Amino acid sequence: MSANADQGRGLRRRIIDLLPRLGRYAYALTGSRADADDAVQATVERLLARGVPDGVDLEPWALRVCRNLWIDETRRRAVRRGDGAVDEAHPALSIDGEREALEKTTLKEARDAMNDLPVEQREALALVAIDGRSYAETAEILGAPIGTVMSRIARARAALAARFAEEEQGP
Amino acid sequence: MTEDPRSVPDEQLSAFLDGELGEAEAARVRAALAADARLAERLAAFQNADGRLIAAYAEEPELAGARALLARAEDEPRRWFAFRAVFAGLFARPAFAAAGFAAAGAAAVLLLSELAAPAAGVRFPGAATAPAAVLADALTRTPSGASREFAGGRITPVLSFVAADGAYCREVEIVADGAARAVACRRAEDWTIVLAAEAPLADPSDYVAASGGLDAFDAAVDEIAAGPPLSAEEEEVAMRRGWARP
Repeated sequence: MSANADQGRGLRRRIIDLLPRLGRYAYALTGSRADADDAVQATVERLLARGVPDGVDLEPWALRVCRNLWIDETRRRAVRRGDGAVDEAHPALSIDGEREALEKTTLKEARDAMNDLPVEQREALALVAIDGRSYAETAEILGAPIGTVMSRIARARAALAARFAEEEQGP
Repeated sequence: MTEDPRSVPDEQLSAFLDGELGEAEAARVRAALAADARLAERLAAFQNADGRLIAAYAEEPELAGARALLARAEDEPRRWFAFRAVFAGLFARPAFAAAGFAAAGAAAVLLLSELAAPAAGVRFPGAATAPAAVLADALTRTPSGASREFAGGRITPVLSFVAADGAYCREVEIVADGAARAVACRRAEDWTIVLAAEAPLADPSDYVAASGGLDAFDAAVDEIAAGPPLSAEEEEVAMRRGWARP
């Protein structure tokens, strides 16, 4: 099976090669760079300790591990605090002034909007819109039918589009 | 979020944006887009949402924790098997004596104390040669990452770890006429070379990938090590205590 074709390279190196993608995915999933760090670290720890089952591609497997660990974590947080929302500290205003601050706010708003989506929509959108994966790949990673992926993405985009339109008209 | 009676449902429009529609369906959407300004606006709003998301997550997380884990991690445990046989065979062989050895294969065993004279050279696979006394001294005194120079070459300890039997071991790189990697373990107050392999020296980041021999070497090192490499502090403590077993 082609899944094992690159088995000859060390697992460690293959994980290192995968880190940027894993990081981007975790960032979109968790909505915070600090949480993405933690989620990826936990993922790597798990992968190194338990390896990857025979005949399984590392990449979708790793993303799935990351997502499951993150979902566990959000449940723990929800239990602890009565809500699963994770907020990133507002970035400090830089000396470059207003424009940069405004840009940062805009980016923050986009992440907030993403964070308010149900996790199923967020992860699908992260894979397709941010990471540029096909529906088929995304379906494999999420373990969901392609039709489900398709409708999650459409609903996520509709929600974001509505929210961004609201912001533009905003106060 | 009001429901607009558009000519193409969101799901299809969204799949169109992702290039996931078949040719016929895509053509139908394109025609609808040309005819329906609100639909075109809707597509633009979807595209805009994607664009904002991509910008919002463009700054990549540092992943410092994951990187630190990986830096300490061992390579592919799966391939230990193949090497285990070779490695066990080598241990069964009598140690090589006298002025050095040229290993047949990737690894060899040799006791530094068995060398005839301190000036004797230890010849590693790949023709790298180092004076035994300098090698022993570098193993004893040079911290990992630092180099011990000698006429015609240098020895650089790469890392230190504890073997399954509790002995301290150190992996070193020897560069002199050729390059080699070796592991020496501190047993009975002497350094014993338990493993050596030629190390084609190119770009340090790709030579492991480029050399099957070193893959096997790394796997064998993993096999000997009982845990992750020592931190700089742990190594310093071990060195101060003369590498006596903890």
